[in-house]
Order: sequence, then C-alpha cells, then structure tokens
Amino acid sequence: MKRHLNDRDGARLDDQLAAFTDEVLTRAGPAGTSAHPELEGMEQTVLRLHRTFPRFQPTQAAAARMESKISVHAKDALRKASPRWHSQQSRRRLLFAFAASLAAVSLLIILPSLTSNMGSVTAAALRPTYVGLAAAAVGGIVLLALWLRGRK
Amino acid sequence: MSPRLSDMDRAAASSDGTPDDAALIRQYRDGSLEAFNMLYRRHLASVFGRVRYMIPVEDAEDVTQEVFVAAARSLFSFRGEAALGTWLRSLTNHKIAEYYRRRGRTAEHHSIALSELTSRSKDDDPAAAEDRLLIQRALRELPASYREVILLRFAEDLPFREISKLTGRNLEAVKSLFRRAVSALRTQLEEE
Repeated sequence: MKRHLNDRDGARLDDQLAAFTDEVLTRAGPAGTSAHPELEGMEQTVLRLHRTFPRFQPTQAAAARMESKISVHAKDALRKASPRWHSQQSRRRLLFAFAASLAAVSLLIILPSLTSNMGSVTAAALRPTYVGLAAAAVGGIVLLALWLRGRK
Repeated sequence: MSPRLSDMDRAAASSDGTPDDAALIRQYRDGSLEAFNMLYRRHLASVFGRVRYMIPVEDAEDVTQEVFVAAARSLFSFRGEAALGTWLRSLTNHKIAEYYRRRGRTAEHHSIALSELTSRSKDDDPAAAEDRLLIQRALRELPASYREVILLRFAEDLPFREISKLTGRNLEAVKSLFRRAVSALRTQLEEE
C-alpha cells in the first residue's frame, strides 16, 4: 500500500473495502468494482479469494465420517483422563470439606470464649481463643486458596 | 450442516435450550462422549473453514480431525480463560503449522512443483486448484495479524463487528488492518 494516503482517505478506503467485502460475501453475484485504482486492485483480490474458496462446508457424510473417527479418540482420551480428573476433583473436594470443617469447629470453640470473656480477659481464657482463632485463620486461608484456584 | 455461530452465540447457546460450551465441557469431563460430539458439531464449520483456507484440499479432512482429537485430549486442562472458539482457533493454527513442519518446512515445501501438488488434488479444475495453492502459499507468507483478519472474515465468515469484539480492537482499526492485509496479500500474489 502506497503511503501517500492521508488519514481521512485511508479511513474512507478502509470503509469502502470492508463494505465491498461484505457485499461480496453476502450476495451471490459479484459486486461492481471501484474506479479508484488502489481500491480496485484490492477488490480484485477480495473477488479472487471468494472465487477460489467458495462457501464450502463438509458434506453430511464427511462430517459423520470425521465424527466417528474423532469419537474413537475422544472415548480413549476420556478413558485415560477420567480417573486422573476425578481423583483431582475428589482431592480438591476433600480438602475443601476439611478446611470448612476446621474453620467451623474453630469458630464454635472461640465464639463462647469471646462472649464470656468480654469484660475480663485472662491469659487462661485467651489461650484456647488464640488457638481457635489460628485454626480458623488456617481454615479460612485454605478455603480462600482453593476458591482462588478454582476461579483460574 | 448447522449455520456458523459466533463465539458469543456459542456462549449464549443455553438460551435456546442447548447447553453452552462451558456446560458441554463439564459434561465431557464427567464422562459424556455425546457432550464432546455436540462441541464437535458446533465448531466443525469454523475449524474446517480455517483449515481449508490453509491446507491443500486433499489433507483438509485429516487436519480437521487432528484438531478435534487434540481438543478431546486437552479439554481436561482447558481452564476457560478464553472462549472455546478462541482456544480452538489457536489449536487449529498450531495444527496447520505442524502440518507444514511435517511436510518438510516451508522452504522445502516451496520447492515442490505446483504442477505436482495440483496433480495430487482431487479437484476437477486444475487452474482453480493451482490458484488455491498460490493463495495458501501467499497467506502463509503474511504477518500473523494480517493472515488472521483475512481468515476470520473469509474462512470463518465473521462480520467485522464480531472480529472487533473478538480481537479487542475498535471497528475502524479492524477495517484498517483488513485493508492492509488485503493489500499485502495482493502484493504477495503478484510476486508469486
């Protein structure tokens, strides 16, 4: 493409070639080409592409033939990958259940101590609370990590 | 044969009662072969269209099969970060490149006489078959972004607006890229 076109000319040619292509691809017959020499050359290329590769889809027979061959491989892939996939999924579910239980049990432990020791905080009362808080935090972090991994 | 669907149509396929791509992938991973076959039927036209533009006609069916076989094996690690159509498009490009590597790299392939290649084609019209090979060769010589916009418009029959959404470029930029791509293809064909 010669670089003597200004931006406005360029944008106009972009639109014209796009419109010409749309017309060629959506109509059965060929569209008339432009008088603009540069555009005319590109329109001829569009027509040549369209003429050389007319709309074509595989026949029903070809599609069915490919489907049956692909199915054999897909079945094989399914057989090989399924146990691995399912064991990954069940490991993830097991870890999720463990983390959720840990967080829930920890909360059950710390909630009563938090409410009963509101006014008088003693070292003895704090110990189980801190342990519970730490366990809940670990459970929460594991849950968060699993959730983030699942989102990827 | 079902009409071609855009990536957005496929994502919204659940609205007309058929499961969308994500649901079919989940079903396939859970062991449903029929789910994979549905994905195959849904994406066949666009994969085959792209392959046919880049691969000699006598090998188009084999390469299309290779794309879907690779998809069947890799769908277990597909994370869904891009639409399935986009993922399949890149898998198809990979298989096309692999096809030419197998044939002895592009340079060696160029040394094969066109007459020899066309004689292998099942096409009845040798002139059309030869033109197809010339265009395929010219397309391979184009920069990837030029080749891609031509394939999206012609091989996959996507409107410019759809290409704009798919590539994240604005419509004007897509049309401008398309004009530069056609111009480069024209130059390339003149040099052939």
